Amino acid sequence: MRCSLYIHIPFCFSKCRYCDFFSVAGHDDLIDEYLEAVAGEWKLYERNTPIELTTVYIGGGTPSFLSIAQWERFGKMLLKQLPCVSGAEWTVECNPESFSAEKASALAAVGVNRLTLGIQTLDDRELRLIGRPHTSRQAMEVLDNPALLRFNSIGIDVMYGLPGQTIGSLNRTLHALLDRPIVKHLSAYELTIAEHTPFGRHRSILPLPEEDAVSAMTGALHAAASDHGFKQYEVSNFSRDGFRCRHNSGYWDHVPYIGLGCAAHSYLHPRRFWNIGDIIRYCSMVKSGAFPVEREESIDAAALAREMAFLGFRRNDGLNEEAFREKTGMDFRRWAGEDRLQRFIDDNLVVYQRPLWRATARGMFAADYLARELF
Amino acid sequence: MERDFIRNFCIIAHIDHGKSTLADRFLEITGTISKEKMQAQVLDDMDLERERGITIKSHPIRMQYTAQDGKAYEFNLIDTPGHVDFSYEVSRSLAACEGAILVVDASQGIEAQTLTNIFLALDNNLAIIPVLNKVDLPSAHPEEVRRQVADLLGIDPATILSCSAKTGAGVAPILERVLVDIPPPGGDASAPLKALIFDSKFDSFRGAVAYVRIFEGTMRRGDAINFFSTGINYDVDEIGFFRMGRFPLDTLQAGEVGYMIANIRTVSDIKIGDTVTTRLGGTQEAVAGYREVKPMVFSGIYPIDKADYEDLRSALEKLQLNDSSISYLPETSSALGFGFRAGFLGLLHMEIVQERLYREFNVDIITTIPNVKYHIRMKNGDELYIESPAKMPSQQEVEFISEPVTKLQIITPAEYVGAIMKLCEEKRGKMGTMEYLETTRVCLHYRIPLAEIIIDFFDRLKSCSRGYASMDYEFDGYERENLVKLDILINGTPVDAFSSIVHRDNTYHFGQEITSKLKELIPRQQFEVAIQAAIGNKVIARSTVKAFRKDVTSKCYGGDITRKRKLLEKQKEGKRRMKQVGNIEIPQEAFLAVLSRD
Ligand SMILES: Nc1nc2c(ncn2[C@@H]2O[C@H](COP(=O)(O)OP(=O)(O)OP(=O)(O)O)[C@@H](O)[C@H]2O)c(=O)[nH]1
Ligand code: SF4
Ligand SMILES: [Mg+2]
Repeated sequence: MRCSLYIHIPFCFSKCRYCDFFSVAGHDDLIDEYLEAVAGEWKLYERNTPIELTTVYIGGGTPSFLSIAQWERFGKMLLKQLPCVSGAEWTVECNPESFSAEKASALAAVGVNRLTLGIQTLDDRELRLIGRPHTSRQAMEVLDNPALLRFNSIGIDVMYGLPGQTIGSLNRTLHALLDRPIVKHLSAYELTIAEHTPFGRHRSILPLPEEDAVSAMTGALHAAASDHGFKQYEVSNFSRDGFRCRHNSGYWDHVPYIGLGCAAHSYLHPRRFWNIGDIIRYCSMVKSGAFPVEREESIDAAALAREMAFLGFRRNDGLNEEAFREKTGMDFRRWAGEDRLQRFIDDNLVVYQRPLWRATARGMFAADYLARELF
Repeated sequence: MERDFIRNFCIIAHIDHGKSTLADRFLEITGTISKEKMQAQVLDDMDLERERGITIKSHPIRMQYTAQDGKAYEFNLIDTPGHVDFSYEVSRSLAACEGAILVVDASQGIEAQTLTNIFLALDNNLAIIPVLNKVDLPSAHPEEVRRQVADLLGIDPATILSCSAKTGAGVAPILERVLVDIPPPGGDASAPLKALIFDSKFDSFRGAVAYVRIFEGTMRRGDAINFFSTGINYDVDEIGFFRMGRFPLDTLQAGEVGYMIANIRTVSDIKIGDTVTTRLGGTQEAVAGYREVKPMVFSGIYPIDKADYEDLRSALEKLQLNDSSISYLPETSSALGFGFRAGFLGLLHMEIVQERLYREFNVDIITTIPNVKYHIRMKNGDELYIESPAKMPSQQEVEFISEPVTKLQIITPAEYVGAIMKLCEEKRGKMGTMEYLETTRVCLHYRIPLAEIIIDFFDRLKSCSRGYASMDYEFDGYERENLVKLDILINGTPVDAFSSIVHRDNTYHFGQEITSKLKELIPRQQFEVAIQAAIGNKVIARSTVKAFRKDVTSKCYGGDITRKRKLLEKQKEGKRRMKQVGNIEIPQEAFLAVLSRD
């Protein structure tokens, strides 16, 4: 079976105030046992079917939070044995506070060829407000580090709509980062506030930028990206030519993927399932030889059609009506309704170039609206 | 059964004084229901009744009672609702009875509906057996309440029974009292048939099930019958009595209470209050019918999905059979399409009808702001009544508007009089008399526009008296007032469903309130939405729902896809329940929220 692999590392130096991911801080004692469990979980899959990996993505949490020794051990236990096809893309997420040239070498040694850097902003006040543990200086030092040259692609993560952020500060962040030729990929996320986070609880006192300002920031983002030769290929993702993230694109193309680790999701058509979000229980389940799955659902044609629709409108590649027919057995136009599609076209939200239905720049901002209309 | 061995009675009281619980004990004592099947307020068998803990419909049931004299009697009991909106149910049940047990909560004392129900029973010439209930409560003060009740009925306090319907203490003697104090029914089983339809229910298999009280003659299975008011003929398929279900019999005789099924599918053929007789040799005179119930509150009812219009019509038809107090006429709204304008007895009644349509008949509806029936005098001398603000002629042609006014009575502990007077004043009430029922309990009388009490008056009254005050009102004619029509415009188009008629002094405040409420409730659309409140051409309040800047979430990776799809599906479901007005989507909550002024 050809598929992608995601490995979740749920450990961080400290917890960011907006963070809605499954990750913990201050439980470093669990890391070794956890890595063993992840390796054990992989064995459960490998036992069943021969696997070929086209992409690997190690995300978190903060994968770079693992020590060099831990990476080396993890490499021996699992990473070096992963059955990657030649030319496979292999990404690891790194944060500036835990990056070092030695760690980068350790990663490169196991086969990692792409890094993303969680820089978020270069304004120290903004960094403090959102509770990131690094400084802008640390971030710039990482970008200057010659160790990065060992990787095929470097991506950066940026956030906007942050408390205290202005258009000016966002522009400074973007230009300083995108100016670097080594940076090939940009993921830019608007801050979303989840209820059960510190931000969610204190929403009313956060100095959040006004809606108009956020919308101007979005404009600034698009301008900065194109000024520096980055093309948007998804709502939040931009890259220089040839540097799209293949792993993430796979999610949007419904390629099969295995997710290892706590709370990780897997999709092996028609099953989509996800692991339990409790490190201790996860470890003990794997130890006992059981798949640590919390729940699963079956993606039938109707669900698949909906997913293809909402994912399609988020992407420059759009929705391919031939792929739609092949995967769901349904005719896209009939499924969506000709008159509705025509209305989208008339409203300048969607364009059609056989066989692609693509959201316009405006339509991409309304991707959820388009999807709701079609569901 | 010999008439002498029959007793027909109902239980009446203010809401929550324990009628249904007392009925439970009666059913237990008489062995009508087994211990295993028993549950609290067992007669409240509708889901809505159980959830809300209140009785909505009258529930008849037959019991076999073996008295102290060793003989077996047939007791036909009807449990009635206590809420003011349902007093018509009570009055209909009373017509099928010779007596009533008046329950008074010994911890609360006499309340507004206690009085109303006493008068209803007296009007119907019923024997009244007052009973003090809940004497087990530490807060009960039975001696004081006993004096109040004795005073009110002009009887000897020593004759008043007391009980705890909850524990069962003191309940058995009540049944003995029923035997002695309530006369057996009159009538002659061999006379021509004369029966009253006092209620009905729709059964999807059997058609209408009429609840009947036989006054004269005998009704037999197979009888060819005739309805007095409509002249329509049917053949009786089945007759019988109620005992946690229907029990068929061959005959029902003068004095008895039971049901009749005649394969009646056309709902309009059967009228509550109508007299049933036989086609051949029937009676010439009808039972004195009911005073027709007059709906007090009107509102538009529209299917959320246009395709459900016919379903809604048939659901209303069937519901009307269960609840003859609902009236409705087709109506068209530019905003909501085809629907009905329906009349209700009060807000609770309206809420219940809405719930029942949804639950029992599976139709999703939107209801518009409730309003009263206005009387309009035109400049050209014409007069008309309107039940919908949308039908109001333009302000220039109107000479004046009158609105229905009620006599309101409020019974409250004296300490809340100040707060209640303030509330009534705010609601344009004019104070009448005030009397002390005892040193700490006061009865206040007001004349107050009905429109002011149908919205949130009851809730406000409860909250300013910590739940202690009770109220009752009755219609008391029309009065000229300075009223105007307030329109709500969405992007320049008046949405008739949001129109209301308000007192001129309140327009500004009310307009502000509605526009800001709607602003919160109308979701962002792909374009800006302006909400205006206007009197004629004059805009008096305005708010704006900004256009969507962005309607897409930032992140969507492997772990987000399922969650995201489910969220969109849920939102879509929410959208399905929205009403398309022009090109704007308005959620049902917006229509509902406008109802609750505060
Ligand atoms: N302590 C105590 N509680 C009682 C007694 N009788 C009834 N209750 C409680 O009072 C509440 C109302 O009882 P119901 O029997 O539903 O009253 P109701 O008069 O039928 O109410 P409506 O039909 O809504 O008018 C319930 O919570 C009963 O449990 C009693 O004798 N003692
Ligand atoms: S580094 Fe990432 S995963 Fe860790 S706490 Fe911050 S936002 Fe969450
Ligand atoms: Mg009851």
